[in-house]
Amino acid sequence: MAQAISTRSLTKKFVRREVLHGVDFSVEAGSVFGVIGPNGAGKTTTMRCLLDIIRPTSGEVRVLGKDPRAGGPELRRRIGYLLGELFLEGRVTGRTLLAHYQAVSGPVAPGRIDGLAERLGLDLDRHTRKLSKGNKQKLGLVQAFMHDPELRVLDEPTSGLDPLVQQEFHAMVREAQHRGQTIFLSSHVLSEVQQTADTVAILRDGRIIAVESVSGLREGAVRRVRFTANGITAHDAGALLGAVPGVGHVEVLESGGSITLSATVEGAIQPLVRALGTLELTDLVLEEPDLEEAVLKMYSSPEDTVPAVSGAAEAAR
Amino acid sequence: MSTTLPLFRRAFFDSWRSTLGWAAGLAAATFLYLPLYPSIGGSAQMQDMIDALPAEMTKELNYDQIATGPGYTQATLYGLLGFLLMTIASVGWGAAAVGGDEESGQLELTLAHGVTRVQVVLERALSLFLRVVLLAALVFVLVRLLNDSAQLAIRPENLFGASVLFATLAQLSGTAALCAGAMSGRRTYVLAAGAAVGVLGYVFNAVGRQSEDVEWLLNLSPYHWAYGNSPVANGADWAAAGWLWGISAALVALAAFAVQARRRHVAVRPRRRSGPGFRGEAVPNVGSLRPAAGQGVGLPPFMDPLGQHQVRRGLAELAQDLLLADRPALVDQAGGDVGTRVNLSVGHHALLKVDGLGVQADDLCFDGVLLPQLQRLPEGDGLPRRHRAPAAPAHCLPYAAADHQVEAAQVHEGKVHAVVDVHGDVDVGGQDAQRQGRRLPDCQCGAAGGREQHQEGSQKQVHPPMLPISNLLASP
Repeated sequence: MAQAISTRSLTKKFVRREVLHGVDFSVEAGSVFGVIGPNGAGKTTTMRCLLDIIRPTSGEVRVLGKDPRAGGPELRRRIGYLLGELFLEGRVTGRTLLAHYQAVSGPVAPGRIDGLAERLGLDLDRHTRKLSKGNKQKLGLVQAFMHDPELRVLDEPTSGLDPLVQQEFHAMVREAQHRGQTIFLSSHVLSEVQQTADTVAILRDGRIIAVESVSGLREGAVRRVRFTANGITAHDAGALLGAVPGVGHVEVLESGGSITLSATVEGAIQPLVRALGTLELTDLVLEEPDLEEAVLKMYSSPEDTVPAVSGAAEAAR
Repeated sequence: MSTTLPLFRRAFFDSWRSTLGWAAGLAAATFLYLPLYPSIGGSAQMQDMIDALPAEMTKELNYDQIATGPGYTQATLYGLLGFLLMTIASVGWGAAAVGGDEESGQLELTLAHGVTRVQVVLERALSLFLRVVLLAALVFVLVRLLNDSAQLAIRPENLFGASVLFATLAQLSGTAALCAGAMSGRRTYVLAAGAAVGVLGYVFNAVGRQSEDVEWLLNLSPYHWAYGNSPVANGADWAAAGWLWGISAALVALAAFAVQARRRHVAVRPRRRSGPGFRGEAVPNVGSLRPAAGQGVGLPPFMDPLGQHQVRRGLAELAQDLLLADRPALVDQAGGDVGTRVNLSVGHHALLKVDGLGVQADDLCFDGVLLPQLQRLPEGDGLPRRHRAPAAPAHCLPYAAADHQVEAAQVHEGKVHAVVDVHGDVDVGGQDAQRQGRRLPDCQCGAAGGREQHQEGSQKQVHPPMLPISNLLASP
């Protein structure tokens, strides 16, 4: 499959510090690719490199098969870009501003701008500098979507939007994907990426530390299980669950002949279900996996993920 | 659909208010000065008064030529107030063209669209040029209109030449500003460059005319190049006009080249570092609690897997622990003085209060709610996000983001669990070495004096006022 974006050893050094230390990733055409990472990880810098707003110190970037620097305006017309933070100070209305960018970036289907504005609930006739953050964000989205570009680079697209508009945005992303367009978006929060993205890359300290498909993350993610059962002692229940692979953090509470047990499950759930089959359950909750947790594990550096040292807990006594 | 010169059109038409404003200003200046000529410049009385002034002063103000209509127009309108207004307008537009637009963060959006950097500079320079020419044309027309009624007797061709030079001179300041903006992307430099060309040009001219010793200054003054021979009276020095246009064009070319060649970043808004308490100045006592390398953190620090209720209970126990185990230590730290207070707090929420010999932890509401929120503070830019709203007091933010103390990423990664304000006059640091290892040697806490104590290898490694929350959660 063709690649909409690929970078190799992308490095960017500013005067005082290096922001990207060799970022490698590729985005397949027609996919939705999410980058998540903490602030200062280099998400925005990477995106700016794709648009030749920032020029990398070294490394190779290909966007829609071209070097952004050589691709020039023709290439950027094929890209829709949403800035992480939109500053609009001029005394112009949203409509005028969009007409300007329409003149710059080429054909927009008639009625497209109004259609998008209506979907997002944006008033185009207000002066841009008077818009709230959310409304500015909507304006930014409209300008990134209006000319139906092949590639959309969206820096924290849902920031400042209310949940309903976020849903609308997710729908817009899916529609674009159905038309075969590529979407590259960033976020702090996995939950908004996981709704739309096929693949998630985790960027930390200027490096891609993991690229995972969302379904892959789901498999590796930790679920929580909680059940109540009759006719078993707390000890036996603990032992039973403890023997199931991937189960941890078992906590059992015994009260009046029944026990309530909660635990975490990592990986496949089949063994757990088999173990639970032997019990006389009165209640069972198996939660949806929290991908955020799976990703946070990747966020945190290796020493942080070592299980709790009991010494520390003892010291607290 | 593509429109020709879209950037030029936007720069030109979107600034119509400002163009109109300056036009009104120039018109006012024209109507203010010129009709007065018959009663001021031409009158013998006025001439006597000017003769009475020191020669240096009349030269400085160009009033030595004020007795004729053209000289009067040259000295008052073209040489003084009109020059001032035009220069300010031109520098303002030149500054906004690239530098101002970059600094306000709007250039990034434009450059992300189908334009080249050079195109941006050139089209905006064109818009600057056209607006300046428009203003000069207006002045030309107005002076022509007033020529008869104010008995100025200016020859039209001289007036035309003077107006061209008038535009040229203003243009030079504007392009200097534009060029500085393209090179630096900062509005301050830009205004400085533009003003320098305008003001220094004027000053060099004024000083240079005073005596032969400093006459060389005239050669450095664009003002003198343009107005040295009093063009309203004597006709334009077209060679000078050519030179001035040439320099302006070169400045624009340089700007285009600079923008094209800038590797660093064009269009990226500079980060402003300011705010209350930034760098620990307003609230000097700040410490951070961080687990040391290798220390166990059972669960990722953002999580609150047991629900807030249980975390709350856990912290209550923690507080009990602290009360029992740490009382002597805390009192010791407090210097053992009755009445000394140690308040450990996160934002406005007290974590622990040590009041003399009595140790209280009466405010347990901080727990569970505050910690996860504080750990979610990493927004260096302070923007609330949907799930990560930094709800802690605003003055905590700069610490979470300040480079020298706690990096945002560290908070994210759980290396820093909380940022703790230590108020009061008590040095919580200065713990002796034995106690350092006694409990959680993995935390450090700075106090009284703030910044210095957070340097590498600081001796202020003390026992913590608080445990990392995840330890507690990991040990049921």
